[in-house]
Amino acid sequence: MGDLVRSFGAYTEKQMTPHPVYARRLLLAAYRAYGLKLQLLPSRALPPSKRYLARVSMECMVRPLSHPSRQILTSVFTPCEIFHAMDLYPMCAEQFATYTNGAGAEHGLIEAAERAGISETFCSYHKAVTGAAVSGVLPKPLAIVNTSLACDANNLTFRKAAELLGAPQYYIDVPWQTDAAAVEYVAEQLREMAAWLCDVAGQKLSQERLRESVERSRRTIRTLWKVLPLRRERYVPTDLTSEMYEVLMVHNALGMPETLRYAEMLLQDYERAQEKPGKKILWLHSNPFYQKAVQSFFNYSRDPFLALTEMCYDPLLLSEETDPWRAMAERLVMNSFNGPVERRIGRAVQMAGLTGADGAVLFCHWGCKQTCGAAATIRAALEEKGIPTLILNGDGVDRRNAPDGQTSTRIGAFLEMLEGMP
Amino acid sequence: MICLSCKYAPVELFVGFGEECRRLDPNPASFSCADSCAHPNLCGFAKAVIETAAEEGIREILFTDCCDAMRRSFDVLRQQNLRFIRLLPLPHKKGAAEIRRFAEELEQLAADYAAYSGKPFSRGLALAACRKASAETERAKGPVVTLAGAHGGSLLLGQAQRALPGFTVVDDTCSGNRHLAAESIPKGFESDRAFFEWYARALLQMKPCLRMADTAGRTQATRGEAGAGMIYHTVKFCDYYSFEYAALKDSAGIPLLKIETDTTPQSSGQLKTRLEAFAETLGVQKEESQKMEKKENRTVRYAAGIDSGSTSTDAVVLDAEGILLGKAILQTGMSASGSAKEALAQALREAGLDQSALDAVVATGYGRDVLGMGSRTVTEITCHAKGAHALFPEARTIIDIGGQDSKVIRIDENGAVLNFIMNDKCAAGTGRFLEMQARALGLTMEEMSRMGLTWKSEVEISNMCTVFAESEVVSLVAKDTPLPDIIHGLNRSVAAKTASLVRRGKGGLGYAMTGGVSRNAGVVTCLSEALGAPIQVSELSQLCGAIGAALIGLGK
Repeated sequence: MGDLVRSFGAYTEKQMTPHPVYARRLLLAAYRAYGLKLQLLPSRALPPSKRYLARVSMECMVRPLSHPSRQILTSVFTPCEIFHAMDLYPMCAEQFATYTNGAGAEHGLIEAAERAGISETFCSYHKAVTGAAVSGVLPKPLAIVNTSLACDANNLTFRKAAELLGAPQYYIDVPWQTDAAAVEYVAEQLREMAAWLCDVAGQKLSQERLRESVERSRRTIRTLWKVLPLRRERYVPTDLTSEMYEVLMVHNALGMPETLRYAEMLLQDYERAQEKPGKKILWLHSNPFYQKAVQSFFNYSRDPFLALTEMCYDPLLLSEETDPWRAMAERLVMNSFNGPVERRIGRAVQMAGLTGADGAVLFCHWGCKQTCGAAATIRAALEEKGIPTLILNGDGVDRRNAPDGQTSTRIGAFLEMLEGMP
Repeated sequence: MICLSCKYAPVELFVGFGEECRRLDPNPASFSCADSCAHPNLCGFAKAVIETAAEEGIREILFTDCCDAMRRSFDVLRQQNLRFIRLLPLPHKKGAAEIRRFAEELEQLAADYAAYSGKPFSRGLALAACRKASAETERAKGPVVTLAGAHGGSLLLGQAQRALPGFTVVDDTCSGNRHLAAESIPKGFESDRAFFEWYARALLQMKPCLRMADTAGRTQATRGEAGAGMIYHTVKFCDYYSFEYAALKDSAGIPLLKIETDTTPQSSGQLKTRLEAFAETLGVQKEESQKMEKKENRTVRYAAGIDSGSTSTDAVVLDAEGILLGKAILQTGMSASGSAKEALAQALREAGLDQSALDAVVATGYGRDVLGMGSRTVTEITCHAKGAHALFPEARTIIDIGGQDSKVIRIDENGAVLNFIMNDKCAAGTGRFLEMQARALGLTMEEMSRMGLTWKSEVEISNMCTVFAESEVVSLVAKDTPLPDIIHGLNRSVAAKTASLVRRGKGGLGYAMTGGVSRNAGVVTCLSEALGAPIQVSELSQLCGAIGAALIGLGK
């Protein structure tokens, strides 16, 4: 973190309790300024697709934050084609949290939540959002829509935010089962939510526009599938931040024209790539994009090459479903984070096979029981399939839980171990 | 025997097979198995279930889809060789569609269990069990204290009940308030399907746990049924109930104690202190205390106070006017009672008195109940409040950082406890944290205290975890960072943690600091900066608990 960001973050944090609206404006101004920087001075180390990705991701934060009356506060797994079709702006809660870290101001929000009584062990993505709601940094959105997938934090953060901000909330219950009845159950909730949202927003949903948006999602997913096998033999530079941007694109921004364009640009970058990657790493769960000890190994690195991030492929379901409601529901129900851990393992093995991953890093984000409870089981299963796996404890948002020394030793030793393997 | 882990588990369905059900109430001594086959950062209850299943060789278990930790425990135990293990999907909502889906799941579970056990399902038996589970429980006679929040189990309930004689402690935790919310139970059903639809509705309409989407009215009901006081329990790494606590803490309207455990019996010492201090705020006095009080009420010329802490044992002797005649501070070492005897002997020598001259001896601190000196015991919360009021009459917020824990105690103008808050089991921000870092730096505590004042540039120790912070300290040493700068970073880290505790405890101006860490000028300065207010300390700060105990002995 540079001195400028550190000073800005410290100043913004000081404003959060006495002047939360001012703190929000400061954050928004910083995001706008950074968006401008991404436009005028994009990173030369990244290919065109990733530069475009960074710009679009920033817009996906600035738009809802600057237009709260059209903002829908969502969880990362919520299908957003309905909002895109209504020209409403989804704001992903997890994205909001990571951006506050980028501004060096996450600690102020996390402390606000802990001060209010929220436990220290709560997921820090959600703790930062809860702190933003408690302190008033988060604006009142038009509505809140969240899923129960993929973790318990969704059951708490959004309800608390709805209470504190006085915003209407719709909760999408995603059952543990992954059968046709479960898909129909979720599809029915999506229909009900859309009707509810039309009332809340005082506008109509164009079925045609929804169909177009869902069709765009389908085309985006198909394009991204074409990229997967190319990762095996081609190196396209990436960094931890770009991977997190892509997480947003394949979830809340799915169905937007910009996301389809990004997928097409990424495919082009891979088709044009000449260099071969070194040891390929499959990264499971989110990542601590801000942490120097991790950046130093993976950012723009050909060897080791960060070949694929789990949260960039979990919703990539190839399906022939033509009904837009069922298509969105199917993507949710069949998500690899849903159901027993075997589903997640199966998907990781499939992706490791497609990309020729030499090893996997399973990131246990602080407070994520969904992942840490499954960590030993996932590692055992992947290693049985010949994929060496490192369990890395850390935090995707809160730098207090990110010990550089330990992290560096663990990753370094793991990579040395992979080097020694045929 | 089938083991069940949650109140939504369909006990009555298994009774319909003539099965005996066991509600899991685990308190393992450690998590050696769960930490390795799951992860240390999983909820304590889930880890306890995994540990107990492995230890006891449980063969039949039903999980409900109630939270991430239970889903993952199911995944972990499914790798083991259990005879019957299922996860019952539980909807988050309770509308018609959800009741229908849940009824189908219950019917499927019954079919699976019939196939597994070879036994038929009896609707009659299940229905009889439902009637029993929906019967109104007898109202407790006398005053009530409610144990609310996350699963506490028989261990915590027993500890609470022992600390609160004269009160009935009612279990309203997520596992303790199982009551089938059936308005009217039909005499019979035409089919199993009809029964399961009715049963699904009855289960989903129980007092909702926090994982349900609709919890409207729950917090209000919890508050309304609480009685004279409420003990609110959360489990480490289970975050659901901290949200309800956050809603209750400022509006409970009755004395409220928040405690967090990991279900193991290891923190019982700290827990006992809190429960007894809470009991003191409700006016409960131990039997021996009452007897002693009667005795003390006669004439007290000299009184001694002994504070048996995890790191040091302190003793003082006061005269009837509260004048300090003798004092001693010793390392607790291997024997709490031995150190207490020695400390008292030293304080008496300094006072020039014989033990027979003492009219009252009051013990406090973690070792207070094992001193075996026939003394009266009072928790360190009350003693610190009393002692701090004597040392700093203007103070209203007492910050005590001892070896094992940190406390923030708010007191009134008479030194009576208004409220208190303690850190949980973790050592972050305590004297032990500083001791461990001093050891990593190869310094004594005195050297560390001195060197921390001569820092030149600020170093960030971001990690609050004792183990990780030690790793950061080692990394900084490897980079040749000057020791005073590292120590200052550690002091700021402790100050930040303590300031956060002060804010949670709603501490206000008039700060005073007690306990061993109050002698560390670097920490005191950093904490004063973090709070934006001066902090009073005294050379006698470390003796504060013992002074308070002796004052209580004097009846002051």
